[in-house]
Amino acid sequence: MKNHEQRNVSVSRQDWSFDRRIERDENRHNEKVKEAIRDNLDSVVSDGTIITADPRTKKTIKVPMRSIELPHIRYGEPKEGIGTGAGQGKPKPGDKVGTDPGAGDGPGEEFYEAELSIAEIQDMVFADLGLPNLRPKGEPNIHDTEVVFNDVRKRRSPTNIDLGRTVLQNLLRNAQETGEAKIQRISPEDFRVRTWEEENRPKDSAVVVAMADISGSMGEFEKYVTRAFCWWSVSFLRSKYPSVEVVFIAHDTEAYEVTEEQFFTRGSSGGTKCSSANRMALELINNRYQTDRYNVYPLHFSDGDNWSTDNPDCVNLVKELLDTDISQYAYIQIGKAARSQLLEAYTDEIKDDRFKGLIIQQREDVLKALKQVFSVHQENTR
Amino acid sequence: MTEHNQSYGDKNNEYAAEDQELEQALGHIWDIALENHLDPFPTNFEVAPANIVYQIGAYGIPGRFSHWTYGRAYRQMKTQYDYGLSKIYELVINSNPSQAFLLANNPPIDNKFVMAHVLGHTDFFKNNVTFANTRRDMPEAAARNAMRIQSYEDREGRMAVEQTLDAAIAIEQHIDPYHIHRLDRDQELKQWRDQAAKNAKPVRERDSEFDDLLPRSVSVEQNLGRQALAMMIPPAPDQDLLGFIRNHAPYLQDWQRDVVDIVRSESLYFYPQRRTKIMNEGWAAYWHKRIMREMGDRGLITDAENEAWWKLHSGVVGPSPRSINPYYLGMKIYEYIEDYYNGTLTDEETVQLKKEGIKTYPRYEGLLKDSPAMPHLREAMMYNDDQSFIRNYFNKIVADRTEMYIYEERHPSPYQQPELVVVEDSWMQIRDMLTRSMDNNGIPRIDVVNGDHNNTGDLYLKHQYDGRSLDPTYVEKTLPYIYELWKRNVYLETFDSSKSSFLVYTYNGETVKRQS
Repeated sequence: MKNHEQRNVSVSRQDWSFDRRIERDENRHNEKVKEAIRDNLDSVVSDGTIITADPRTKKTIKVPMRSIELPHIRYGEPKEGIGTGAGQGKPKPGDKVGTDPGAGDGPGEEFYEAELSIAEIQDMVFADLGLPNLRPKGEPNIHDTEVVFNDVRKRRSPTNIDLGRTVLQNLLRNAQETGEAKIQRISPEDFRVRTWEEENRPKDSAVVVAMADISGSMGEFEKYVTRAFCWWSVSFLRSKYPSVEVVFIAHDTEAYEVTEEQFFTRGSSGGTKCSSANRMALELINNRYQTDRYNVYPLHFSDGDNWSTDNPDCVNLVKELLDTDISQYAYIQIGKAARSQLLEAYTDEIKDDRFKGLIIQQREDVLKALKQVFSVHQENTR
Repeated sequence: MTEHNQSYGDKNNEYAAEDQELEQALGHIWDIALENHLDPFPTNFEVAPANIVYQIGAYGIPGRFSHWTYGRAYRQMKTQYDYGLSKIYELVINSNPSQAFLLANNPPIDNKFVMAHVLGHTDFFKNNVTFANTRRDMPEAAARNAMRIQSYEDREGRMAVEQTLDAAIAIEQHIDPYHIHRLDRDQELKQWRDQAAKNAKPVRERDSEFDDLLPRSVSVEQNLGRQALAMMIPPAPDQDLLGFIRNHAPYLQDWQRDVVDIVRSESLYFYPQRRTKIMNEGWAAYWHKRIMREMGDRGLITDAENEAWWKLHSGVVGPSPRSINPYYLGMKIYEYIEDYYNGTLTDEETVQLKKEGIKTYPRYEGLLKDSPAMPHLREAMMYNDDQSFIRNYFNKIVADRTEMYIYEERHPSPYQQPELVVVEDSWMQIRDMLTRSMDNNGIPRIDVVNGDHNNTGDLYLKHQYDGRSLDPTYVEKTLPYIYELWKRNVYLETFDSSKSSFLVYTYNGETVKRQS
């Protein structure tokens, strides 16, 4: 056999386990993907997978997005191409060789799915949200204590043992003592135990009164948007203001206090009297959530299709609510209509910057509406 | 530490048997290749884990500079691999010696198959004329480029370097493959000036009989100098946009010029590979098939292995209904060349050629290596690029053998997905469409026509219209990147076929304007 030197070919292997070059470029690309999603949050926010998930979920979702690319000067021709018969005979002119799935997106635009955890998307959304007009209420000395694991020590209760650090310590010790980095003879001196501190946080007593119109005129789209808006409101409040309470009111011509689950699932029928919900909110404030102890945030969702004779009552009740010194009242009208008599009545007659009247006409408006209702700029301004 | 080395040594032993098997097979493959007149570069095969092979695939050259687009490429390839959608068959770097990579988790027969394929590529790299001027030391050069870019990052900041790289990469295709060794700015200007002076009409010393009454204020040299000053920069339309920017962009810093130069030189290195996709993959497929068949005939691989590589082969050269598989088309053309000169066409094909008055050859029965077709095969491989290869060798027989057709997108109604409908199957139309799509590598040709437009230092570019319009969205997105390098207004003139009128795009640093 000839020797391989003469043959000028060879086979080799090397240890690549320390090669992490691509990671930096992968991370930079991921950053750019996140930037793009952040710029495009309004369509992500109303994604169906998100708003049916448990707000505390660790689930990830796939966000379809345009591939991040550097543009090049290119031809913009109608699509044509050359194919080759796949053995079952050559197609004749007029034969179909398939459909074009990426139609209408311009030539050759690449789409792919970026995978993000819901928590990451929440962080992006929450960064721009706050509770407006939030003031310290109630007993000034009442504080929340929260337990935060933020320290590691050598001796503490072994129930909170930090396994990773303990094993690392054992490895280090063995390496020092015997010259061999092996995990063996774990002794008490290797133990590393997590410990905690109690952090004091001022208690912001706040309550959100979520009121939704469930009358027959509320269609699929209206319900979907209500759900999306409430999902984001609740998950935002729960994450940033753990002590915030949320009460749910559903109404047609009458109002009912319901559970969170019922609020989102309750069937609908009948006419609409929006004043019923406002009246119930007022009762709740007088009996349960007095404004000297709570920051109160009523949110009302409706398609605006209200009995016109009821509109004056609505206006008066919102005025009364504002007079009780609530922090904000938001009326969110959902649907294709640009205006409604109810919204007009509100905006004509209520001159108070704590009242917010908004319209959501399409799914993409949800984020904008969230930012208006939970305006970070108004936080602590009063 | 000794412990650690020991364990790594053990790991090596684990692969020793497999490596020995591969090396032995490689010896036979090399011998068969050389018997068949292949003339490859020395080639080293490195067995590496999938993520490393994909990483090098994403960069295109090992040790290349860092940029997020390579991160994206890696992610896309890796995802496809992880989901089992597609996998890299081979990865080989055009250099001398050539470096090829084999997937560590491939069964040995897959890697033997890949080795036979790769020798086709390294023969092609060494002998195809399109590659004659490529840098064969590119891995080393790329590593040096990467180090310089790293040092600019340390000094100027990562974001500043990324911004310049983004801009240069956005126009990386706009190079002139026949103008690789561009002079530096001063030499280039001198050359242009000398040329202008040579072309200038000699200045008559006396215009009239009274001239000697007037002081001779303008000397001949001054006159020439003035003409040189008035010369256009560039003196002729210049396709090398990156090279022109490197030399003449008024506000670039030295490190930025170097970054532009690096992108330009690496783009030039890849140009021949883009220019010979069908020929190069076809050549490798043609040879892996013959080498592996020979391995089987000589009993150097087992029956099971024989079955396994045929399966791989049919996957690699599988035709695709909506695009061209370069492995398939290229291999089919070489096989046609072989059959034509060796007289092994089918009877029908021979009759057809005779009818057209084309010469046919007597049937050859011997070995391929000694066959009359062999010199013709090598000639076809050496002296063509894809465009001339198709123009010279694609004919009715190849079109029939590959069952090719042209399709286009049709919209049956606004509510339905567009359909792809076969519109044409005449071989001449297919050939012409193929060659046309290869003009300038499928990239619109953009020339610099004036580097001092309006005498204000603006950059005026002109698209050489060839019947196909530019995609306006992409023009509008790309102009800001050119501005990023030129830092003065950028114009791009093109032709709008829908309105049959000239169209000029302008970007002034803020907005893109369109004027007819």
